Amino acid sequence: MDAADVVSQGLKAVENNQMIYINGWRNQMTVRMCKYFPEGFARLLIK
Amino acid sequence: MKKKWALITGASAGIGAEFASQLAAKGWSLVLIARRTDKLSEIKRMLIKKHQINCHALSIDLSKVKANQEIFNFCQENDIHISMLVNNAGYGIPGDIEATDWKTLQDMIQVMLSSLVELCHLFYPFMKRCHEGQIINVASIAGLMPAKAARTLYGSIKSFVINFTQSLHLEARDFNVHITALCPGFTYTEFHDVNGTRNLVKKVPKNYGWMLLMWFHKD
Repeated sequence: MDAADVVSQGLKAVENNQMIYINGWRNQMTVRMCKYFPEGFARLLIK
Repeated sequence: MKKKWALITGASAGIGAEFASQLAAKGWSLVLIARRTDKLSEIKRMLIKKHQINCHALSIDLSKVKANQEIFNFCQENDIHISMLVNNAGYGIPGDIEATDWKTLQDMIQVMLSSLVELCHLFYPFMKRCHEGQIINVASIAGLMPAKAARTLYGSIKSFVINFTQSLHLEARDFNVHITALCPGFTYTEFHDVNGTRNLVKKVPKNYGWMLLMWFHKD
């Protein structure tokens, strides 16, 4: 992701008073999956 | 209309420089903090020329314990009231913990953790009194992911930043002070040249940074 995207999204997030903002839907999905399947999801991806 | 002031740490490159650029374009006045005087001066000169904003560039090493108080004193002496604080300064160190000397680790903790907390501690009370302010703590998805060998401190510090921000957000929400932990994935900046992961990032298709999850678990 470009720094410009990271920053513009971050500025919107703080404007909207979001507690945590994860850039990009793929990153959001990955973090969420890791939360529910901390080991399993990552290993599944490798295979 | 009185211009609002934003303070950005780690403003000489990457995400920090981009914050400076986008805020300047919106008309914010800026206090830029970084170690590298030449790069910082260049950014300051460019932003003033392009956007006609007020801009101060302070060449300060945040690994020094007194650095944050110096920044705060500078703002007080110049009647600068910070409405937005962007805690962005940070870097990664490759290598096992035993292969890294304590001073290097201590500096990293001071820059990325202690300094971030102290700047919030110094600037948040005024925002709270004014019932207006924004703090962006630049964390990382590394703070939300499973731990990785030989990156002992980076992820742990970012986890702290996220948790600290959550706490402060809850403290501040009744006072119209917005506090956000920004968690980027891999971003195309010089950060990866410094921490030795440039070759890894080059392999990642653009916008597919999430696939580097595999990297976290390959060993």
